[in-house]
Amino acid sequence: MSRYRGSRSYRHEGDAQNPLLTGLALVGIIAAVAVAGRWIWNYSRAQDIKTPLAVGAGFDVSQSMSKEQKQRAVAFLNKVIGEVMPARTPTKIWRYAETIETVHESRPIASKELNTVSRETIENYLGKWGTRPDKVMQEFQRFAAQYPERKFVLCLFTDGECHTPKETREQAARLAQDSRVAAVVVGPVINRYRRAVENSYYAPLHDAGKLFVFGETDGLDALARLKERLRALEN
Amino acid sequence: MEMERNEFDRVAAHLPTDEPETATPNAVEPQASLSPAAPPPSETNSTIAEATQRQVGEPPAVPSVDGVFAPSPLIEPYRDAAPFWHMPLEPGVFHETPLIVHSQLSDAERVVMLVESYLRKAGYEVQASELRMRYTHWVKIPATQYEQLRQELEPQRIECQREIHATDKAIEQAQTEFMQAMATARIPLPVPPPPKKRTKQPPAPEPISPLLVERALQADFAHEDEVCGEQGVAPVSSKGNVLVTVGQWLFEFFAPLAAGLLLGVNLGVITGLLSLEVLQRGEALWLVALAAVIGLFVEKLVGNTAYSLMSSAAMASEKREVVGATEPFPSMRSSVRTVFFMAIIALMTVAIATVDALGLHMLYQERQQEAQLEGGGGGEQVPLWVFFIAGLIISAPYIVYKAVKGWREPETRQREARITYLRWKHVDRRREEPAVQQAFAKAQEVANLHQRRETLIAELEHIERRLDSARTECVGSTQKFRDYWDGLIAWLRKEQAPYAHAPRYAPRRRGSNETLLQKLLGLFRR
Repeated sequence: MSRYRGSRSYRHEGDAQNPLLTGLALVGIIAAVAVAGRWIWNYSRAQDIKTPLAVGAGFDVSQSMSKEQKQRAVAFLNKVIGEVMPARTPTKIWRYAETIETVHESRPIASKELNTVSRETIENYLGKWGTRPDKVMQEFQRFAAQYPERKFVLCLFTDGECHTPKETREQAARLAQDSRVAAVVVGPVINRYRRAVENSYYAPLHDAGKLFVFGETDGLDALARLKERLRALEN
Repeated sequence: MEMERNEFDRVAAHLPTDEPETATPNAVEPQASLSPAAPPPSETNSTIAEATQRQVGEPPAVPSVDGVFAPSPLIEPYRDAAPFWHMPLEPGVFHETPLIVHSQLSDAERVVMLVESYLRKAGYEVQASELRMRYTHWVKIPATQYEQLRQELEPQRIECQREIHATDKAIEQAQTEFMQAMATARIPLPVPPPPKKRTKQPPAPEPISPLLVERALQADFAHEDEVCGEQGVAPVSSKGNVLVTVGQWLFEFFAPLAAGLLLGVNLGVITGLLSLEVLQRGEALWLVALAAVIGLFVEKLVGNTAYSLMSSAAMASEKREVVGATEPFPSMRSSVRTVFFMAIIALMTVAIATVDALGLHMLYQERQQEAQLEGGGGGEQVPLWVFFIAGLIISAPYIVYKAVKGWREPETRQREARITYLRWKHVDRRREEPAVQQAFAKAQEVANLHQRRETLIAELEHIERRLDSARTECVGSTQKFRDYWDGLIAWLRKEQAPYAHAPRYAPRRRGSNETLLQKLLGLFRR
């Protein structure tokens, strides 16, 4: 057996840290964190929508709307408020059937602020007979007059039934001509009314490229198209 | 006039020619030309033989028919001078000083005196004095000084070399005795530490010293690998690996970062700062990053707290065998503290898991609401306990990992400390053995001899530097005199040229009392 032994390494030998290296490493880490933070901040700012916007939302509370449809409509509005619109965007909510009522007006930071309103005044509320979206559009135009410097998005939450097609088309034509109206979202329409909604009641908006219709299964797609439309306004 | 002419011819026999090709290289060798009959006593046999050969081959230094002077019999210091500054030394060839010393000095002096006398008689008083002065300053004094220094230092140099030789022999003897002592003491030589820089050459052997014996004694003990099973420490292979270390660093950073990201998001969701909608917004990325950083710090804090608590619990669980003998060492065993620390760790783990579970559940509910837009959301709800399990999976492993590490590391350190203690005791016991002490003594003897040898070498180098310096000074001064001599002879030949062909009307005396009329007459005669 060899009499030679390998040199033994001691764990604590040479463990003294070089202060210069430690300082350099610290400076490097701080610089990296600062660069990463700045990049994240700039990216976040770049994703923001700079155009001043306002939202009007009309919920159809007629007897033809089921509770699930109303919940779907509320979920869509929450997504619009939460994901698309900048914080503190002026928002006005109406509910309508044969008549129209204003139920809420605020500048919410998050969609959670509208939960109580949605649950009490829309989901659990059953209105009278009749569906008059033209009245919502009229109220919307009055609302738009309050903020002449903003662009507007109208959300008409209905199953697509319309008792006044002629008046609705007239109001739609006005909105189509109004350059401040960026988009009009209609849904969740049932399949039976969808063709009429796109080609008849809101045809002027459709022709102007401002109409976004969603049904029972393509709400997120309509949301994505709306987002693209608003981002296009930035340019 | 005739006498003066004859005297000039006699002197001219010793003057150099102005045509280099008439003088062979050997003919200008100073020692041979200055004293052909008697070689210098300082020359070695080889140089004497060479000098003799040169004398045979060279033509006699006589003036030619047309009055051209013979080659200079004076100094030529560079021919066989010690070439230590301008050419490599030839092995087996030894050079002696080329300078005019001893018997040559008398010849050179005789020639110089002859020329000086001629100059004085010819009326060149200034030149004669200058010749004498320069010869004294440039040749005589440096050569004398150099020879005196040689007389003084050469015996010292020889003595120094002899002592170095003797020390070398003593070192060999002491090294042999050292190895015998190491073998008697049964101390294995340690493997030298690997060099820091990778080189092709094998590392130099470690010098023999008491430090080597000390290192050998410490190395003469079981490896950690060999005692890891008995002493409960990890094998070396799993400790010193770079990949393991880097992986450990990455794990220590990314594990809490991943768990902390989810924890931070869940905390934000619970407190209402974040929601599924916000998480899906590009402009809220900074919020997510902020939540991740906060979560990272919280997770690290909880992990480090668990580590410290478990370390304390491990310490509190130790039981000393003889409490009385360890006073005033505190008694560490405390079941209450151990249980308390563990309960805190369990509480933190449950709290973290609860936060994760609730946050995930709220996100799940938001996702269910969102699913309504795609026609879904009506399926069976996932129960809350599933989210608790998810929360435990997210954060508990890191906390448990840190807690186990906190328990294990002090224990491992304690075992390593025990190994170190055993090694120290082993070395201490070995030091008491006479054979080991003899090995230390022999190592010190070798070290002393090495130190003495270095001192002698330094002394020898100092002597040789002094000799070289004096020799250089001597050679340089002689060369200066040679240049001066060549210039003087050239001037003298030029002065004597008219007398070689024209009749002499009057003696040419140029003393300091020469009148202006005499100078003009001289010029006019030319």
